[in-house]
Amino acid sequence: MVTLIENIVSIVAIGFTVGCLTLPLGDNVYWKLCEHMFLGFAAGYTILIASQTLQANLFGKIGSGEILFFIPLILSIMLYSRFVKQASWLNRYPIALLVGVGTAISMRTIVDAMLLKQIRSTLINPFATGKAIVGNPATPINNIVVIIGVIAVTFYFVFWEMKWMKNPAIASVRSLGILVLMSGFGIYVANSLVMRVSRLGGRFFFMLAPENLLTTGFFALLGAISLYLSRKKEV
Amino acid sequence: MVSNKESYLKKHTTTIIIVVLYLFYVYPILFPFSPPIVIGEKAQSFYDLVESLPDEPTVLLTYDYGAVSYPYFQGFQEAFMKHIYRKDGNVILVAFGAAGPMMYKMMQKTFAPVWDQKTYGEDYVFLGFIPGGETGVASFMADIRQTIMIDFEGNPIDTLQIMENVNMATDFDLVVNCETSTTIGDGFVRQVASAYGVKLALVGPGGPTWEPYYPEQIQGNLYPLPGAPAEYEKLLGAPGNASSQIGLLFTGSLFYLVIIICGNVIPRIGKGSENGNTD
Repeated sequence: MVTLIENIVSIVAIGFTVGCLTLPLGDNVYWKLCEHMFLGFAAGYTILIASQTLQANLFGKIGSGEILFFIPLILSIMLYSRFVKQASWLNRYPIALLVGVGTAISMRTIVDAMLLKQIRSTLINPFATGKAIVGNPATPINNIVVIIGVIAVTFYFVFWEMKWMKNPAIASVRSLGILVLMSGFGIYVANSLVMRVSRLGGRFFFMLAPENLLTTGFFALLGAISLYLSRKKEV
Repeated sequence: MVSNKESYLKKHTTTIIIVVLYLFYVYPILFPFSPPIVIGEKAQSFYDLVESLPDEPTVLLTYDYGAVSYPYFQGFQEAFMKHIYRKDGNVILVAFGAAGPMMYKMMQKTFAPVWDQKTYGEDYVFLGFIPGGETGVASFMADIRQTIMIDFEGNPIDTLQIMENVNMATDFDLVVNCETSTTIGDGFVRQVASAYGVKLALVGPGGPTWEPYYPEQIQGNLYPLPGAPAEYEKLLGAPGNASSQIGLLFTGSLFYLVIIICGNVIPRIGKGSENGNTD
């Protein structure tokens, strides 16, 4: 059974979605209202989540007698010392610790994950089946593409000085490297685009659900009025 | 008269494109249709990966995305949970993004048909948001109880039946990470696959950047380009949210294709005619 709160949430969600969808048609008051309210809500939500996390992971533990947790508390307070000019040097220590710990944790397995296993995956028999794509009859072709692609891109980054580019053989391999890189970026962009189709589609599914049609119609009318008024003002 | 018409079109090009875009999205919702779903290699290998798990698997489903990406992940996650429950498995949820708790609230509403027949704390649990990015992942995988003491609902972890014998990464049969960026995904490769050798699957638009890890380091790499979640639902024999969006995915992608072609062809035609006039 749909509760009153769920109804209100749906109305607010539709209102905000329609407001955002009016932006590509032109800047208007309705969109501005949505933008500012969203920023306010997002900031409020972030503070709430941060306070909950601190309660669970820091204050809760200090309260249960784990005095060692005073150290992260002091380090956290030191982060804010940048707001006091005389004590701003203090914030370097927690930042150094954060960066140090983060880097050390990544470094622990980075050689294995990002280097050794990548090299092992590239050093393949081009005619072996079941390596690059399991059970795919095009596997040998894929393997050859991987090998040529790696060599060409490596050439592109290693032979970058003008003196090397004058050599037609190196220049050709570099061009192939650019082609491989651009193909990779293109596929990534295409994926992001399809992701956005999915995102926008989800909002349209929600707004055009039979129970939400009336609300959507109301906010669409509001958006149209807001756009009309904004354009009239411009003229 | 013609020049007025031309200037009007030039002035309102963006508006016209956006209105047509919206129409392309509205049409498949008002007049649903479903293009044939062809099973791709990625969806098939992910399905096989879940099938290869032992009976009653314990699976960790992590996520790092906001409300805007929910429509994409919703279909996949629902199908994935159905798949795991078919094998009498358990799903442990945890968020490494701050929007995680909000996403869990949305899941509670949309996954109600799946979770209504299941018990919280026995068949599924949400352990809440863990900050720190990759450092948080590393800490969680090394020792869950040292990282968090209570779940999202405030229950001590030791009181949850699902968490019995689950202390670290190696206690999971599979780890699946859903995210919209690529940074945490790389962190998972380092902190889960490489550090513990646990089976790992990454889901999200970062798929092409994770391709070098597949299948050597990650056993599943599902990304949206071929409508992989809909393919997964088809393999599962349970059409759901993702399948219902496939028509929209088709018209939406078609629109962008038309725009890209027009954007490349029309300026060339314009240049050609300008040159012709000059000559």
